[in-house]
Amino acid sequence: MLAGLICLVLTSTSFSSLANSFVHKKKYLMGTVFDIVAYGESLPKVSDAIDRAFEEMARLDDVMSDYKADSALSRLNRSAHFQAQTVPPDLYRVIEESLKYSRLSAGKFDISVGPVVNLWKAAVRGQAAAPSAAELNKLRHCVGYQNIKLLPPDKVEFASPCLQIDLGAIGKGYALDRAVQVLRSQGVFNALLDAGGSSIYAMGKPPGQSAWTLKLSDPSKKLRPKVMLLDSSVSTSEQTPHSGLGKNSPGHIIDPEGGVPLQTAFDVSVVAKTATASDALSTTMLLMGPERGAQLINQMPETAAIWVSSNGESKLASSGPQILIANRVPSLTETKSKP
Amino acid sequence: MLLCKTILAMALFLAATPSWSKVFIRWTEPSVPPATSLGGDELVVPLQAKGLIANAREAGYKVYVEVPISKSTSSIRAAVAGNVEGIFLDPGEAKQTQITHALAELRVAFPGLTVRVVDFRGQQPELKGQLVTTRNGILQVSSATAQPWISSNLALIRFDQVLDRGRVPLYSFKWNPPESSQPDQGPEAADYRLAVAEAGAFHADLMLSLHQELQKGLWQKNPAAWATFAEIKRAMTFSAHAADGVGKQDANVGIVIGDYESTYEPVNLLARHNIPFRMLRTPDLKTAAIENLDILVFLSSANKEAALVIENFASNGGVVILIDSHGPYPWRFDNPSGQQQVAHKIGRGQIIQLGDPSGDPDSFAQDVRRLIDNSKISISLWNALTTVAVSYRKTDSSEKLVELINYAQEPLSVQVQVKGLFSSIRFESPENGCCTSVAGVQHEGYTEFVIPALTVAGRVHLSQRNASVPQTMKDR
Repeated sequence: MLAGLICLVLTSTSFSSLANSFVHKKKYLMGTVFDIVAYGESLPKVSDAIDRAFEEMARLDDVMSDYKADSALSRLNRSAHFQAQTVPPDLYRVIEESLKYSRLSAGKFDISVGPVVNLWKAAVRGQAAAPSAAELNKLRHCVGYQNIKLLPPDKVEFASPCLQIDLGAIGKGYALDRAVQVLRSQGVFNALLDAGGSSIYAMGKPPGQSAWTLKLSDPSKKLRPKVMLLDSSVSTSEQTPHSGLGKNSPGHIIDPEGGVPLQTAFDVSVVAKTATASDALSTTMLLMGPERGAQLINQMPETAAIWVSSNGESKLASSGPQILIANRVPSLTETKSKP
Repeated sequence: MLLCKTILAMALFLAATPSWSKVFIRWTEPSVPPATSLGGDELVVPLQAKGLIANAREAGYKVYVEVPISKSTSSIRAAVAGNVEGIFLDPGEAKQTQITHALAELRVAFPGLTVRVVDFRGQQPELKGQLVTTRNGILQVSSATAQPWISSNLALIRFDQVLDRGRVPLYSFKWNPPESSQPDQGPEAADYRLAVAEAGAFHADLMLSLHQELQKGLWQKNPAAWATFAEIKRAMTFSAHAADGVGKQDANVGIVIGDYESTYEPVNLLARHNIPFRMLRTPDLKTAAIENLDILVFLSSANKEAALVIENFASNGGVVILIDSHGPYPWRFDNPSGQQQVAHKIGRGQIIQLGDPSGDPDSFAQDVRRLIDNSKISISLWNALTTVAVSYRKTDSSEKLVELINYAQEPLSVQVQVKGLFSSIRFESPENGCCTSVAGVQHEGYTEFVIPALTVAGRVHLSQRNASVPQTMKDR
C-alpha cells in the first residue's frame, strides 16, 4: 500500500570508539528490505539483538501477511464472515489500532479496502484495463471498517460476507515498533530501523549527535524538508508517479470512499511517536489532503505532517515535532495546534 | 605470418570456450590445498605470485595467471615459464582498441595458452537495503526506491555478450566491504552461492575471488571453511550444466546499446523488473533482427540506415524510445517547452523521445512494461520482487528453459507465467537436484505455475510431455 520514499538519512558521526561500534544488517521481509543499524559497545551483542529483532518481524510477517495462505490474517480473511474467530494478540492489536485511525479519519484510513485494492492490482501493473463501474459497485458493500467487530480479548468477526483485511498501510510500522521493543529488551538503545524507505524509526541518537537527522521526500526539490528524530518515527506516502512514457498507471493508493485510485499532487511525510502511527497516518494524510489532514494532525499529540507537491506547493502541520524547511517559498502554508 | 598466428590463436581460444558457465577460483594465499580435495583442477593466481604458481602446479592444478594489461609479453614469459594453462587479462582502464590489440599480441606470443579478458566491472550480487554504512559510521541512503534494489550483473553480462558477438563473457567483481565495524570475516556461504548461481543463470564465466580468511581456512583444513566450500562447489556444479541446445533469450524489448556508461543503468532497471530484453549494436540493427520485438530502446546515436529501420519498426506498430539519442532522423519533434518526454505517432506505432530515464528508478521499467501488450510478454513473475528470471528458447525445438535467481536468498514461493503451452514443467535446484514436476495451468497462450520454494537458484524445463530431460541432470 505504501510506496512513499524518504530520500535521505544521514548522520555524520564523530569518530569516537562508540561511533565506530555499530552493526548494520538487512533482511527481506513484508515485500521490502528492512535495514537496522545499531550502535553499542559489544558488537556480538548488538548483532545478536538485531537478529532477534528480525526474527520478531519475520514472526509478525507470518501473522499479518495477506500473501501467505497460512498466515493468521489469511485464515481470518477466509473464516471470520459472520463467525467470530480467535486471533493472535498481535493481529488483534494491529486491527484495533487500525480501527482507531479509521474512526479518526472518518473512514479515509480503512484496512477493509482489500477487495477493491485487489481489483485494481492488475490495472496498476499495466496488465489489465481499469475495473468497470459495475465491477467496483459489486465490491462496494465489502468495504467498511464498521463491519469489523472486535470481541475482546482476542476475537474478530466480519459483519459482511466479503470483507477482507489488508494491513499494507500499517503492518510495516507495527513490525518496526515491535523490533524496537526487542532491541531495547536486548540492551540496544541507539539504532535506526528502516522499512524500505517508507517508514523509519529512530531509536535514541547516533554517537556525537543530539538526534537522528532525516531528509524528507521532496518532489519539488526546492524545499528540502528535514526532521530531527529522537525515539520517534517518520513515514512517507506518495501516489504512483505519472509515466514518463505516456501510459500512466492508475495509482496504487485507493480511496476507500470511491473505490478508485487517489488523484493527488502531493507527497506526504508524517512524524509520530510510534512507527505504527506514522505508517497509518501517512496514508491517511495523503488520502485526506492538506486541508482536512492538517486539522486532524493538530488534534493529535506529538505529531507533524508535511505535504509537498512537485511544483513546490506545501503545507505543514504540527502539534509538536518540528519539520524544518530549508527554502521557504511564498505558497507555503503552515498550521500549528493551539498551545 | 602474424595474421595466421592470430587466426590459429583465435581458433584455439574458441575451442577452449566453455559451453554454458564456468567458475574460475581466484587464489592469492601462498599455500593451496591439493586439487583432488578442492574438487576442481583450475586456479587463477596473480602473475607476480611465482611461488604460488609453482605450489599450485605441484598441488595438481591447471594454473591461469591474472595479468595486468601493462605487462609486457617478455615479463609474462619470464614469470610463467611454461607453467600455466592460460592468461586472464586485466584490462584496467584501457580502451577497447587497446584491449583488442593486447589480446591479439598475447595470443600470438602464447599460442598454446588460453587467453581471455576479464571484465572487472562486475558487482557483488546482492539485495540492497536503503541504508549505506561505512566503517566510520556515516549513514546515507542508496537510491531511494519503493521496490527492493537488486545489484545484478545481468546488464554487464549481456553487454559483454553483444560486444563479443555472443561468446561467453568472463567477469569478476570485488566483494563489498563489511557493513559493520566488526572484523572482516569475508562473505558468507550464501553470498558465494548467489555469485556462482548468477553467472550460471545468465550464461557467463566468473572469476570468483575467495576471501583471504576462507583461503586460509581451506589450506589449514578448517572444517567450517570446507563446509562453506562444499556449498560453493554444489552451486558450481549446478551452474555448469544447463541443458543441451539452449539458444537465445526471449525478448520483448530490444536495446540498442551505446557506451557502457550510458547503457548500464537503463538496462539494469529493466533487468531487475524482469522486462525481457536483448541487446543490439547499431550495425546489427536490421529489420529482420528486430521483427519479433515490441519495443526498441535506443541508447546510441543513429546513422541514416538505423533511423530508417527505426521508422519502419514504428510504422509497423512498434514503440521506439530514444533516450537522449541524436541522429539524422527523418522525423521532427516539436518540443518548444523543452519537455522531458515527447511522443510522435508514426504509422501504427510511436516514437518517444526521452531525456534522462533515471529520475525515478522504478518508474522507467514499469512504464516500459505498460507499453508491452499483455498477450505478447514472454515471461511475467508475481511475488518475486527479489527475483530475476530469464527464459531461453531451445534451438530446434519449442522447449524452453527458465533460469531464476532469488537475490533475497531465502525460500520464496514464486508464480511464473511463460508464453507458450507446455504440459511438462520440471524444476531443479542446487538443493534438490533434478527434477521435481510442477503443476501448471494453461490459458490464453500462456503456461502458469508456482515454484514453491526458490532459495537462490532454480531452473525450470518446459516442454511437451515426454520430452526428455538431459541425462546429466537426471543423474544428479
